[in-house]
Amino acid sequence: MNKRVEKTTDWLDERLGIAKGARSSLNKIFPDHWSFMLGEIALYSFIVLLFTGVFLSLFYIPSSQQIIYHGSYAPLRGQSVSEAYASTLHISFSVRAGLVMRQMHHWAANIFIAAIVVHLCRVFFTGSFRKPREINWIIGSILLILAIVNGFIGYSLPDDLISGTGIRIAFSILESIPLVGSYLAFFLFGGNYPGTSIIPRFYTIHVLLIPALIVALLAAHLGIMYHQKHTQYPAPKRTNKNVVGTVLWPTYALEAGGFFFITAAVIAALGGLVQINPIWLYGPYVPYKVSYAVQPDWYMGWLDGALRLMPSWEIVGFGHMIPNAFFPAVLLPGLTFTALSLWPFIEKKITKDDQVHNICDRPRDNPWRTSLGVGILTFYIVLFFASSTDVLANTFNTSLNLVLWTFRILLVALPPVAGYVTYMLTKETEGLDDAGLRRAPVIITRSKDGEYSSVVVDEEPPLHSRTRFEPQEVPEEKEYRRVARGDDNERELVGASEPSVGGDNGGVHHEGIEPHRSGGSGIFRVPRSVAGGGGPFGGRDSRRQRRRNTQE
Amino acid sequence: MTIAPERLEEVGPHFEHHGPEPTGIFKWLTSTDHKVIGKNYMYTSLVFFFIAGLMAELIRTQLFAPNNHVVSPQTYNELFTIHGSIMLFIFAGPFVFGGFANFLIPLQIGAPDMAFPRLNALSYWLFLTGSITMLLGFLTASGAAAFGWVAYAPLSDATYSPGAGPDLWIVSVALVGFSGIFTAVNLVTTIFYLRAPGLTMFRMPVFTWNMLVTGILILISFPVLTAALIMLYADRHFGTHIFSVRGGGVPVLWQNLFWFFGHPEVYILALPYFGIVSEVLPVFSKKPIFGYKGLVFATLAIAGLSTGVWAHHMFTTGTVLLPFFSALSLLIAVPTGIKIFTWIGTIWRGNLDFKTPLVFAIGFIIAFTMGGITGVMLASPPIDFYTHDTYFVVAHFHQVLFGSAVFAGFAGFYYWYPKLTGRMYRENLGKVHFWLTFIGFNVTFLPQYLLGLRGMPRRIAEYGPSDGFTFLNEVSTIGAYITAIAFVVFLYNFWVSWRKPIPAGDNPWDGHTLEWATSSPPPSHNFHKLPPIRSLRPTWDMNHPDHADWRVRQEEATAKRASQVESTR
Amino acid sequence: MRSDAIDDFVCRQTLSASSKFKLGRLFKVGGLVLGSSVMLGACNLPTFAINRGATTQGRATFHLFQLFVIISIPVLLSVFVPLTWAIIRYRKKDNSIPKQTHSSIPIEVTYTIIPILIVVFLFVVTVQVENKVTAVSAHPNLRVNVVGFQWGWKFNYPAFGVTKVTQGVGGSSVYPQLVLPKGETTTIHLTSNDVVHGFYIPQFDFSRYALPGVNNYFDFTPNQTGTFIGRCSQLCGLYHSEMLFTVKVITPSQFNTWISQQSHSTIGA
Repeated sequence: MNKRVEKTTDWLDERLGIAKGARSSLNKIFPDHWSFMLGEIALYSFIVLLFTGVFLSLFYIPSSQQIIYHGSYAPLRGQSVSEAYASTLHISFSVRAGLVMRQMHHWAANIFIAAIVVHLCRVFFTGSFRKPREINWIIGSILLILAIVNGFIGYSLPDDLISGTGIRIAFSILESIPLVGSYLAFFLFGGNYPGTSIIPRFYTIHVLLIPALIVALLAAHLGIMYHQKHTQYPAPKRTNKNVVGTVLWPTYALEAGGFFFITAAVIAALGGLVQINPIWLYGPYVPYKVSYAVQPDWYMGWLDGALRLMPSWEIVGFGHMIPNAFFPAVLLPGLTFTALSLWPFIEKKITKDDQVHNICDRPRDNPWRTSLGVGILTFYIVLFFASSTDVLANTFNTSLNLVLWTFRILLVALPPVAGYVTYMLTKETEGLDDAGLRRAPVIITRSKDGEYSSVVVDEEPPLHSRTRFEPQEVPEEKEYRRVARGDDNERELVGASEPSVGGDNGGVHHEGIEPHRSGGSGIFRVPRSVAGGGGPFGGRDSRRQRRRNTQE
Repeated sequence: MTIAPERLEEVGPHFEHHGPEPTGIFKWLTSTDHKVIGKNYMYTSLVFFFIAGLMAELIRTQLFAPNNHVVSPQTYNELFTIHGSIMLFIFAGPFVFGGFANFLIPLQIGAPDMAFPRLNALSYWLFLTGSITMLLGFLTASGAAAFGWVAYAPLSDATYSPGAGPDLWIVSVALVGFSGIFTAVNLVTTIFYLRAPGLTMFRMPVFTWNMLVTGILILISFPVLTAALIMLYADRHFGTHIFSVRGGGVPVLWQNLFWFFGHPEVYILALPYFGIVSEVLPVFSKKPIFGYKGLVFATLAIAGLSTGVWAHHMFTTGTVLLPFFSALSLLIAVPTGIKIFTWIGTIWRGNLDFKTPLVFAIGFIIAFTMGGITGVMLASPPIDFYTHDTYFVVAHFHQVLFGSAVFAGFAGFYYWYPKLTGRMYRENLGKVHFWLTFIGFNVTFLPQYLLGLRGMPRRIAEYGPSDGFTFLNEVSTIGAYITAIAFVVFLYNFWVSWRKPIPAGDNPWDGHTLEWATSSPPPSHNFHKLPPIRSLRPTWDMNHPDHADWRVRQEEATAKRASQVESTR
Repeated sequence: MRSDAIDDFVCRQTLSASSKFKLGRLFKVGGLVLGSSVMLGACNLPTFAINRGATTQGRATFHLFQLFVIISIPVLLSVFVPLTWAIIRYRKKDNSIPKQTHSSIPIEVTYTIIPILIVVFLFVVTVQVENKVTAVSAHPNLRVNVVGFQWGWKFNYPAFGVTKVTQGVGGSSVYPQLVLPKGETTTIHLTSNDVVHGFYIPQFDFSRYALPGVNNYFDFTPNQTGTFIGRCSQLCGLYHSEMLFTVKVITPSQFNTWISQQSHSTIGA
């Protein structure tokens, strides 16, 4: 079996010259922690989006042309609906696997953005955006914006009552931009509202433009991360110049593949079992039929909430009245995403920290950043909940004004409180290894005098400093290196791969921790060379020599 | 003072920090130390005592005048329901068995912590959640539960009490119930298994005995309540007909189940406070508790009998065997009486130091005796037919409950405050608190006996001007306001002792039991040194070697032997 | 020798007999006196503010209640007098340590046995009265069906086909009236249509629950004429406090007149 694999790879190598690159890639080390896998959820749900999206695009008709519905959903028969709406109903009711694909697509979109947000929070709270990773942070922020916009456009494509209301709001928001607002709005919509161009244009943006941008940026995002290497939590044996973790092939590759299937499975289960966006219950979009409880998808909630909470002030600037919606719906997100993208630079200005950081922080080790982040997050969470003011007022049988004012007060009061509490908690647990973890078992003993004292029974290292596999020196590896160096200098080194950014520090070294395994062909064995050396074999990559080395 | 500890006896395993420990809010949130949890319980339940007290003031204000419109009938019904539920489920019980017992039991038996510290922490957080849920009913559209703390079916089912408020009440009581059950498991295990060497069962302090018995009563009664609550919830939401006649159910089953829990519950609420008084009186009389063994057996008798008297709350249903329940209910007065005489015997010929704890303990004896006697009257069915569900009963149970939870509770709070915090309260403020409470309490509740005899039913939102209830209600309301002022004085005392602390020292009262042998507040793991435990009062023995109990016992035995020898000559 | 000291509860006086009455102690005694006089003094002795009972059953209850109160007085005093005495007499004067009495078997036995005897006596008396109060005669002079509902009462005289029911709730000042003949035994059959209600007539010294699905029977033999107020004693919902009724006791001849006037009417005051 191994021989056949070897033959194949040799065949490819002779034509494409991939051996060196493939070897180093497949042996790349990634650090072990569950929190580093959150971004992957976004990636996998994006892949599901692509697949399900392609399916949907085969049946969806992006046209606002009004037709009489004659499809299989009886209650709507005979009504005048747009072709887009009718085609979505067609997908939902008549196309085999149509509804499950549609629901998977919608769930995947929600999960995609949720995963991005969670991943963003992880990167923020661990300070992983610091030098050298500022570019990747900016790319990530842009990805978030693109994902949100595409999500909004995506759920507006079926042209149902609720999403149509959202489009109306979007039009007004565009219009509210001073000076250029009406031009922008008319430009996007091809005329006044509603017109017939918006749905087709949305379709093109949703299917071609933004996905292409996302793919490109994603590739860049992953490529930069690959090149710069992933950060790791502070722990024994981890320095700014190495990565302690597990190797890409076979471990992480299979794990990633498995995780992809898990994510896809969850999305499939949701898509199949949990209804989402039942547009047939809402009916087609008719401008005068706005109703109650028309909240948007969750990632737009904060904007909706901001719009609701904004007091009806008439603000005049430079002699002109600035539309009220501009502030919560344009200025706020503008400031939000600008500050978000530029955060690494803002933090650098505050902390004056110019160092390279390949070790990320535990959130509790940086109280000011963590509490600031919690406070800001609380702000957006309050806005999110504020989008349900009408539903809350109805459920609790109170006046809408009471709910609005409650949220306005909470919006101002809760973030500082949350930030302060977080600050107190993080300051207190700073430097504590086991805060929040299951405590170590102790045995309490009583002395002759009646004094009680405790003795620790079993000390386990904290989660983040544990590796899944024990680092082991493979005897052949040691021998190999001794031979490779051509001397008897028994340095206790477990090799490194090619140098990367970091310049004057002599490069970042990888300390490979390889799982103990028996057998395997040469390409799977860890070929390491001395620190600062050239390629994996110090230049030697002849097949014959490789085989000889493994036999030794 | 500490020698290198020899690993003589293993008391673990427990789970703790092995590195630096958190010290602030994180410590509070994640602590499993029984002292921290005990204090959490005490402060939380005092806050809810205050909230329920405000509700009581609203109730009394509404009843100040006939046909009053301070609150609507719906709000009034909600107020007394939640007032009663908070006072019984969230204040009176948890204050002592979540608060005092958690803090004191390991100290009193010489243990480093409770047997299940994490279960202890879980109990507290369940309790806090349940308590907050109790108040959430007020936020619902149809209001909080309004069927009285006893929630009789069919009034409490979905037809007659629709809405989310009653459901929140059910959930809240279930949560607090689970919290109590877990605490009881912890208490009973700790008391049986973690006593220090030398502390035999009959050398345990009376408070510990009472907590043990209370724990067992909780384990007997609370699961029945939980089951009944689940049945009620099922009736309300899952279409069952357990308590509704229409579906072949039996409404009076609810009353049976509830009171099977409810009567032991009132002893669960009373026995720990008896224990507190049994701790306070000896210390401030400088004598041991009188008739210790009799007291212990009386406690066991009360607990045993209390499981058999529940239907005395149901005499007027016409569906219970009157002679049986009235016999047992009358009988339960005997061990209670034994206890009261024991307390009198304790202070008899003592050297009474009238500090605030003692003063409150005596107030308790006065209030409880009066309440207990009216309880004996209520144990007689014909008298119960006359007075059931009138203000006579309201006055009776407030005398016994307020007497225990408030008077004895504050006696305990003042007594153990130095141990809890290491600070001393202000004695004069404590006395003012007592007198205002005593006067206010009596002015509030004594007229209510007369109101009941005159025919004023309970749980009525208003009464008519020609009913003849007006004057007595006015007096009662004024008493309620006085009691409220008393609580403010208490809070002020507390606040002053925090702002300007006076260190209390290890043993400011010359206490008798083990908790006074360690520092105030006790260190982590409670003890740096345990005195030898050879009697009921190890700390007394340590501090008064000439009057030590074991010495008295030895001398008695020697004397007895000598007299026997002499008589045979 | 210390042998006699242990069993003998009558200890030697070690404290001096003189005691200064501090103001605080005076207040405590005064408070006790005040308390007991509020309970006893404001009422009319010897009824102790208990209703005398306008039926023979109620009268029996009244006497029982009186007995209980009278017995409770010495019991109360047996606690309060030693308590007061101890508070005054054994006030701390110095730091001396008093005699460390742990127990006294004779005393403990006494205060166990005597309450048991009292309780047994009370039980015997209770059962006698209880039998009288709960007895339902086999041949009553009159039967009345009483049904409680949210929020009123329905009185039905089955033998005469007459029903009285309340007009309405929350505003109606016309409460249903139960008319009974004096000196004759009426058996009431009590039940409820919905939730639990309490059929309570204070001046009859009596109440009984009206439970859905349960048929309660009890007798009234009124021994005086008059109009008595009745109330609902068990919380039954929003207008529980307004679920009043009246009981009018008239002579048998007046009753016959009245009942014949009421025949065949179903709604009335």
